[in-house]
Amino acid sequence: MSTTATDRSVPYAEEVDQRYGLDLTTAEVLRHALRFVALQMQLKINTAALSPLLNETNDFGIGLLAPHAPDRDLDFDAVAMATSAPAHYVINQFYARMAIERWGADRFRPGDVLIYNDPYQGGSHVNDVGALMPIFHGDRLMGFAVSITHWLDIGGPVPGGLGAGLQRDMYAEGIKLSPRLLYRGGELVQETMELFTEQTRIPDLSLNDLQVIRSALQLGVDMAERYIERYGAETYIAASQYTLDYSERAVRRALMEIPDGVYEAEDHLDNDADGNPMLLRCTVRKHTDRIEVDYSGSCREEWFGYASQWSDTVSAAHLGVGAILESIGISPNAGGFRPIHVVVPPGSCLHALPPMSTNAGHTMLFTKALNLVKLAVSQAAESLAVGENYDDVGVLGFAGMDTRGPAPAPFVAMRVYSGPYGGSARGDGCSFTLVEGGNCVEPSLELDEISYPVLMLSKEFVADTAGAGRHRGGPATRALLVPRTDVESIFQLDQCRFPTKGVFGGLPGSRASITVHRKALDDWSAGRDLGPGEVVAGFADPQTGRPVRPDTEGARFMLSKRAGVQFGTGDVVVFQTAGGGGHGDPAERDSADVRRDLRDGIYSSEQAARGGAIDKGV
Amino acid sequence: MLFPQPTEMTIAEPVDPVGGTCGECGAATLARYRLVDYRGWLRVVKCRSCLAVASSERVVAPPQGTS
Repeated sequence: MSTTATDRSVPYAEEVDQRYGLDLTTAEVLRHALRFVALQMQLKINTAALSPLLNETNDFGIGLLAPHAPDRDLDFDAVAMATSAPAHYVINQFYARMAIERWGADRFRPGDVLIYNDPYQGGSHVNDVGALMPIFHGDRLMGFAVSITHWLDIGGPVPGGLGAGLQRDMYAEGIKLSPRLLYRGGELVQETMELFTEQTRIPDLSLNDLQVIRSALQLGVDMAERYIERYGAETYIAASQYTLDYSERAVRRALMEIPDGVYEAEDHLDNDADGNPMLLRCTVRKHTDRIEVDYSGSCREEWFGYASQWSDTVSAAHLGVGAILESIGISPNAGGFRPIHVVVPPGSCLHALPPMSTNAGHTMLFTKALNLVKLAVSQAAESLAVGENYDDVGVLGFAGMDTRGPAPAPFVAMRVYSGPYGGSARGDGCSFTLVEGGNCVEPSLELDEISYPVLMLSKEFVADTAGAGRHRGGPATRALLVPRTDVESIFQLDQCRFPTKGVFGGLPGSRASITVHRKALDDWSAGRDLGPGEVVAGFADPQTGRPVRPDTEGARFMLSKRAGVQFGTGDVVVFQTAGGGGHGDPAERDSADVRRDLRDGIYSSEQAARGGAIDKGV
Repeated sequence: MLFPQPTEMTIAEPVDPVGGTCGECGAATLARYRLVDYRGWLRVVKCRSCLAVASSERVVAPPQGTS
């Protein structure tokens, strides 16, 4: 399609007929049908998977790849993706296509399912397992149904993966599969299945969920083949081209809303494995309907999980631009990615080179890279600016032996935590949503408590944590959890050191933190004050371990991403996200909004709502 | 293929100036560097002012080899 701007995002009927050989109605029916197929595939995973990351959290991406048709500029591009985990659906454009190239497109037969999880082949981290199934019309290959699903455990030394500080390099991450068949002509390849049932800590889930993936892919294949049968192969191919071009046109139109210019932003990850802050830089160059996101100047990759894949960073850049344009409501597909170029220097923490470990870096650096785009473009215009949201996929996981049943059983319980967004010109930041790349939901507390020996005592917003502004950020959320057996944990929670940023006079939100009250479940149950606790992540007094302010002399920063930390039965673990950054001068906040904040407990006083001294967290 | 950890503390993509002017905007700001588009890795000659791509070639993703 043309690379110049258009003043219309929707083509006229005669243009569609001339360019694609389609009547507009058929083109639109099939454009929506492709998305509908992807959404049906998503529901299949939701309804049949056993892993809570798949049946509730939505930590997967699923959809369709277009046919290969050079005369229509189609090359197995991601043509339709569902709504779950956007980070995954962007990566499908690289992960799945590189797997097809490596395997060989001419080797596929109907009923085959290819499976792979090498993050250095266009992926994210080893826990994200790719799978695809060919779509055929007779002997003609017409594309693929594809998925990426986050596996709760992929083997290796750290239950649940995300082993910041423990996984030095890629050899310590768990099983890593080059593309291979999970199903051959519809028949299960037992040896491939056994890689999961023998080498992960979740054999029962794996046994079920691998079959669910195949089932969801089969659904996509069946539905796509039905449309091809009904409309014909050439019409399906033309509609795929139309669908990709449609999203490209919409993105180019939306990019025209950003003033041309060069915009820069920088941020820090709390720490590397040695405790040093990690610098991240982003330059956004924008001209007419073109945009380039450049991460040059970011710090180098670091061992023990402080690095991420280039494909992850490219995905983050696309979604960062998309977040700025979010009101447009553009169907996500590879056509929408065409106007965006990404520069991501090899050897930086945002572009790992083998043998660096990227298992932990996937979530924390992806989210930083996405927010950097928003922070940079925020300088272009106050109307586009957003205060910084909490920007890590906050994770706290417990692993141990569940002794509640007739026989002890290993368990891995992991939650991702939603948090607050920054204020914008449109209004206050929302209080509780997962970061844009995740778009996941937190699973049911009740189901979690039944499934695992872990209690969630409370989860609530925290007063005086929202960054003040004309439009304030969302407040921090604090969750209290109690393991009912001795466990080892994994956790990742950035912004324990550097708080969120406000924009255009808006103020920062509070810092995040993790603390623990040892053997305090009975005290909590009796309503007794638990006191300050012991810092697990955040600033601590080196003598007592108690929380202190960052500027306290001798304050010690406890790393905000770790694995293998032990908690005991009855310990109360307090997990608190950062507060969102504000937008605009808080002195200009509407009085009615301040009264509402006081009523809702967002702030404890008008002084705090107006940006007076509040507790930014210790 | 395995790579050593860089010795530099921060990493930037090498950007090599190229002579001539942009065919679209006329600026003398052409440069050669690598980037990722929607289908993967490219080495481009691109205008740093208007972002027009003067030329491009597909290259191997750096983790898979030198590019």
